[in-house]
Amino acid sequence: MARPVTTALQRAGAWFREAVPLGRIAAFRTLVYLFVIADLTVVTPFIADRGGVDAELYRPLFVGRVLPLPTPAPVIVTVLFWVLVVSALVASTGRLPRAAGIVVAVCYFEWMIIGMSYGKVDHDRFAFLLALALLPTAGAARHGDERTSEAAGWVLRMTQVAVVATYFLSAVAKIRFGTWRWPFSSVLAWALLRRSGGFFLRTGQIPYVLVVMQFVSIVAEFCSPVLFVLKNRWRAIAIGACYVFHLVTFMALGISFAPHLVAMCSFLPLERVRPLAALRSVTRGRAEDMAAGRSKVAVGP
Amino acid sequence: MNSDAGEGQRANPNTKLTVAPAEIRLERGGRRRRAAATVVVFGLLLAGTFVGSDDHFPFGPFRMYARYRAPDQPVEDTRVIGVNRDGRRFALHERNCGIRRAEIEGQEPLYVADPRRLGRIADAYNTLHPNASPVVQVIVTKTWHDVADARPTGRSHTETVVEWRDQ
Repeated sequence: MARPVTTALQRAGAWFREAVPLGRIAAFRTLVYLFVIADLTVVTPFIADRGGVDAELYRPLFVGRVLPLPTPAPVIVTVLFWVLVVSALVASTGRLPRAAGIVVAVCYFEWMIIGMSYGKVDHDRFAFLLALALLPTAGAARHGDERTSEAAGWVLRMTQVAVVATYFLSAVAKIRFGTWRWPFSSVLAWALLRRSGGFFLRTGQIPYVLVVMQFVSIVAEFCSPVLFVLKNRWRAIAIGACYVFHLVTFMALGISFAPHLVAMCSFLPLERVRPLAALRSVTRGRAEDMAAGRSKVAVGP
Repeated sequence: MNSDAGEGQRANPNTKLTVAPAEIRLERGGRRRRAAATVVVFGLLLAGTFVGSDDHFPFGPFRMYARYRAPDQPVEDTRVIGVNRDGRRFALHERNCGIRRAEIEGQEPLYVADPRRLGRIADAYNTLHPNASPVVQVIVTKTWHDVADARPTGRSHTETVVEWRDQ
């Protein structure tokens, strides 16, 4: 009996460590760290204003009470902001992957504690936080490097599992907090009334539309692990469907789930996206064309 | 010889041999540490999902829109209104005061118990807008929308939950 268990564990371990090109982790790393800067300045810029909010409103989460995390004073928030910007910029270049990556991971986690300790916790961050925590373990990686790495593969696989877990466990949470009656509830009606208007709200008034959507969403969430079973084109279609779902959610409710969408890029062959290399190729080609053109003129009659 | 290039392999056009890129493998210690980390991370996440709460972020349950709302009971829409010294009323939200509407909802019992806490929201707005007419009153309202068969009916009524005024 022990041998099948050992074999299963070994296979699971090998699956988690499936090697990926270093160019893929380099691209993912650049994307994640640049998004940190975007998050600070565009996606959730209000966290930067926490320094001006009275400390009386700060209700630290469990980790903020257990660890000696400071109350967000203006100086602390400002210093944290700039440390994050600088370290994320450095990390996005692939330089100092471990040192810069650890600084970003620790500081961004504190940034999130500041952001979530005033009465509302966002649920779109787990996979992104995990990616930040694990990227320093992937080691050095250059864009375009075709060598494959188990360390890099483990980081991406963990992020993928976290992405799928976000969907699957959110369905579990609906059953835990909403019971099996959840699909029949007015939760979507409530969401639309709070955040939406016009087309989407009018659509929600059509009989059974919202109930059907709730059924579809919870079934899709429970089925999310199928992403690991699908191959190639079908997996790409399923990932695309996830992105479309979040686009529609953003249009209807104004909820972007942006950090989660960035983490979901861990499924994609990012090593194929090389804008700088393409630009260099175009630039080099034009230079060669110009040189060839000049030499034809030189040897002309 | 195999001229078919699989994933992670590239064909050498000169020899028709496939050459797999070098694989950088983890040593045994690295594998064990990562296996342990995998178990810890997802073990905590599972625990948070089944017995945790938002307080256990980031390992708390993914409870976005998870709460059951009866299909024939009104649903609430909370708004936070600021009134400045000129009498102008406008919504207070994270973009102008650094505090989200949902955060005020999340701590609503505390605001109801001590309306002076709303003064901190006014202070936050005034700190961010030192040149604007200061907010001197904050009102938290709740609009109840009628719902039937899990869809809006179009009928609603609004009530004031708590308010604060600068004396």
